[in-house]
Amino acid sequence: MCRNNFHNPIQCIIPPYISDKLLDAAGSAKLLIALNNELRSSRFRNDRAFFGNLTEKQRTVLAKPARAPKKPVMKMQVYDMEHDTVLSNGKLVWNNGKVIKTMDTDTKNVVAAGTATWDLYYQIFGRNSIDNLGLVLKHYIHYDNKYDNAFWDGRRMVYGDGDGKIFGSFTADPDIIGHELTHGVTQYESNLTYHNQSGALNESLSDVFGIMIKQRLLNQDVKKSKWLIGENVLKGAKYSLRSMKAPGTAYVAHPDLGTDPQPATFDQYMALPDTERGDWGGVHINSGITNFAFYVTALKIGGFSWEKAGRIWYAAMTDKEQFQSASSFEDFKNLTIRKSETLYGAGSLETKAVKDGWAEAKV
Amino acid sequence: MEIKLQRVGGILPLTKEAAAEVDWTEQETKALLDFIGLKEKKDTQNRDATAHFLEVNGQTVPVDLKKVPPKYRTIFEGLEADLKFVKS
Repeated sequence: MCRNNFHNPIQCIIPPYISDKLLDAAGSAKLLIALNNELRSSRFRNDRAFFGNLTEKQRTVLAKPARAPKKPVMKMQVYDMEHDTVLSNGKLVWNNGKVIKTMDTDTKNVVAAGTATWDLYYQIFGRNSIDNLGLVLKHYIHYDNKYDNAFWDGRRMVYGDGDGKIFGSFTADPDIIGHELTHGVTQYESNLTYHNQSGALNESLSDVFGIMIKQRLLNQDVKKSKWLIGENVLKGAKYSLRSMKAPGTAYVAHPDLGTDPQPATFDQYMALPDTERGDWGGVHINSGITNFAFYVTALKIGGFSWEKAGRIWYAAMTDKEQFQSASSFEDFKNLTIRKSETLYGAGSLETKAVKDGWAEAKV
Repeated sequence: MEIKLQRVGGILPLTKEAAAEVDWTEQETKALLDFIGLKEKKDTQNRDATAHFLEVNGQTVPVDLKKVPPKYRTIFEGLEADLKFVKS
């Protein structure tokens, strides 16, 4: 294209037929625009030809060294509600390791369990926070007066102090903190609808990951763990909120609460009204069935629950193609079996354990 | 007449109740319920949340206690303080 050793850019890089066209247009106001366009096109063609002719070695020399991917870092904040109920009024007391106000027990609890939760998801499952994109974990403690509950509001975790008689602080158990955080994970994955079986699966996944977080924090294997959710939150040595090992026995004949209504097997599934007063079809009740399936699976595999049983459950819960918002117990059973077959083989001990788990839960 | 405040839901889904006697007219009861009443939300991202219902004249209505007018605050604060678990 550059016929002579000219340094005039027009003569050097623009093919002759274009130069002719440009000369024709010389009198028009569009000449400058046309020249710029052709100059850019011409440079692009030359660059492509130049890079196309390079050898692999030449390419390597020219290529920028690839940057090592940044290792995700946990981001977490703790807000003190000081008994208010308007979350925007919460005061930041701990910010990514920086202590803004002297840490009380609840701050220490949520920092320790929040860290353990982030660590389990990242170190075991390779997940970067709730949304897998590094979302900041936000804990709101001391919500309301003597509030006996903890919840996930779609963006953050909120904990009450309990009434001090029946319930202690809802930050007292790492499994509760892990439970609330896992509601966030479910929201960003299958977003299981909070009704009937899919809602019970939603609750169960929060218990399953909650218990794994506690077991890992305490270095408990499947035999050492008591498989209890909220054993410190509900006061009294023989009480807890839920038992994954023996659903329906977490509290029996409690003087104020009565007896734990959770079933362990699908033939005892409780069909409750799909209303707020009916616990949206018993999402916290029927979760006992799928909790029990996980417990049996983990127990039969042995060792630490997060190593194999947890991996199978995580693979299933994050499969957006096959695990969807309206999934049933049966759907999840089939998916965990398939995931186990993929991870460990169809005839493996692990797959047999998964099948046994669901069989014992009668799903 | 008797009114009953209920709290339902939570990570442990138990019901708490408290009752009180009030002398509200039918008109003011209706006005109050119109003011603090809520539509039951079916699909929020709230998980393990609690909710309040007010039972009055055989009608049970979901309510927002943050919207209770000053005139009625004492009675509702008393009801909240008296809430007791209903055994399951």
